[in-house]
Amino acid sequence: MNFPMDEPLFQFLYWIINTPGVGGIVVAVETILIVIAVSLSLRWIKRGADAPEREQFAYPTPALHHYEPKRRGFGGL
Amino acid sequence: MLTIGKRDKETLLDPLFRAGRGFYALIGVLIVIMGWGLFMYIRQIVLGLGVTGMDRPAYWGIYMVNFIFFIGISHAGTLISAILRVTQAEWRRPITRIAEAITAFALVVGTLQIFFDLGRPDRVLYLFWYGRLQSPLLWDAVSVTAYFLGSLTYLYLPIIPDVALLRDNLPADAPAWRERLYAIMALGWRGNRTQWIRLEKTIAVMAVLIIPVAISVHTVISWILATTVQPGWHSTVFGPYFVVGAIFSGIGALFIAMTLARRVMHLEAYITDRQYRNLGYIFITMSAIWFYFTYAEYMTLAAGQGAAEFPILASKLWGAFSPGFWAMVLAMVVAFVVLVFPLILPNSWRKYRIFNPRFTLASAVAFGLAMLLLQVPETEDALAGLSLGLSPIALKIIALVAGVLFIVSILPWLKRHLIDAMVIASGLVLIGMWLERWNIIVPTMVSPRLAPSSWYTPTLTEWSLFAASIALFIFMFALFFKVVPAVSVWEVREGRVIDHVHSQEIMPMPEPSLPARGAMRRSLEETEPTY
Repeated sequence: MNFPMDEPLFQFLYWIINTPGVGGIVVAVETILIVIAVSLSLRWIKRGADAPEREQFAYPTPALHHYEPKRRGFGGL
Repeated sequence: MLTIGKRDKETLLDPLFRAGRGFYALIGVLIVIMGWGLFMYIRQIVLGLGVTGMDRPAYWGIYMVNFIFFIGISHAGTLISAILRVTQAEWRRPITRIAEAITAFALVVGTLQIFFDLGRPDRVLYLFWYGRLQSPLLWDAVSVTAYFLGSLTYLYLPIIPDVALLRDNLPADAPAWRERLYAIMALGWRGNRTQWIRLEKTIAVMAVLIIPVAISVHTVISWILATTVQPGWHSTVFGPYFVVGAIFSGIGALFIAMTLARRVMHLEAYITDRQYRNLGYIFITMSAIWFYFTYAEYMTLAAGQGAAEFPILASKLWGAFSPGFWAMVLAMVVAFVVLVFPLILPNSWRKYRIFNPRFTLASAVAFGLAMLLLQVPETEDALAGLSLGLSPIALKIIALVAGVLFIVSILPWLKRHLIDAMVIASGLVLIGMWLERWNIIVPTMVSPRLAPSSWYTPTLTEWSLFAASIALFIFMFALFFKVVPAVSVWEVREGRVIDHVHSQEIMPMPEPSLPARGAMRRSLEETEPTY
């Protein structure tokens, strides 16, 4: 039976899991990715306020997803 | 400008701008406890870990127990908020925020325990500088980081519409810092359709993502132990066992937190019997699953009779660690009885004499006396003096019978006081789960494989930091709910509309089944077309 470490793929995987410091890089990359994803989501929600819609709702209901909003007209809000 | 109903405003928003003497007294006491903990921690850094009870080979003690315990109760938010949101359980609405807050704060306190456990806290950076991906400690860093950031986001997202409400309905005398804080936190929230849809989509995605992350967190924590070959830890069942225990203790913490919030903030109209009853059913289910895993774990250890494993099991069952083990079992059994029996007890049982309050009092006194006499070192001499002629074994039997009678006789009271029953059970479960972590960590640590046995007793330093950790948790909780409503206002308002619509639906009567041997049925069968 061939030892899998002869394969470059397994050599690379071995390097990944055994090299000191790679774990820290993984945590750092993970943190950066999550922070970016969350920031973009919050920005997306914030920019939703710019949509040309007149009505404001204090709370949603499932019906809101199928509702056709009244668009801002000329000289509207 | 966003508006809010008068009753919701008076109950949920206005108290955020008022603080009585009780609040300041609580904060003062908590600061004193945290200050004492800080002093003891600085002392520990200066003098070294020698001030703790930890020594070779018992490197982990109460700090590690607390780490697993607090990370465990952080699962409350995931369970209640995420799973119930995904499954559209409408009753979740008033308690989601409290659950999400428990998650975030418990993670903070749990992570602090790692720093306490390190004699040199700066060395936590070594995990990142030199950490290798083969180490479960690093897996833990990965999963806890994801869970913490995800939980903070998941806590914050549903807060946005509520802080926008606060921003638009501030009292005239509100301090300027609150005005600025709410304006920043509200992210320019207007409440138009696009914003609501985007917010709901983001929350839905987060709810789905956070569930596997939460499960990974406690699984990885269990793997820190299970991937070693230490006796009692090297178990394949540890992953699900830890996750079940985490959710179980999380619900216990949630029951206590929501009851405190309900009483202190007068949320009786929001957090009702419906939440207690439904959450109670999940609590009972988790209790049964926990018993199953505990039995499976200990039964395999006992049956295996491993040379290294069995002495540790014996130390828990009848050795030095047996008080902690049996206290855990007792707490969990009593909690199960307190949860289940009031639900299945018929009202008619109250006529029996055993359910008399005097009987309850008498059995409690008998239990207390028997336990007291058992604690006296020269029990037999003391008893001889009393001329009772009771041996310690007889006393133990009396204590057991009196204890059982006490619990049985108090059941009708628990049935009438559902919320109190849940809180009592939750307290017992939290104690039991803390002891469970203790029973897993410490007995193995003092008798590891290939090393001489030792002993571990927590010192004042460790107990002080434990008390300070609990104080910090309560402190964050108290301050947070002075800034943000404890109940998610918009979710509750949406729930009211959905409940109202459901109440308008008229459920049709079932179609009556036809008489089996009636003439009408025969005639119908004869006239029905066949295909």
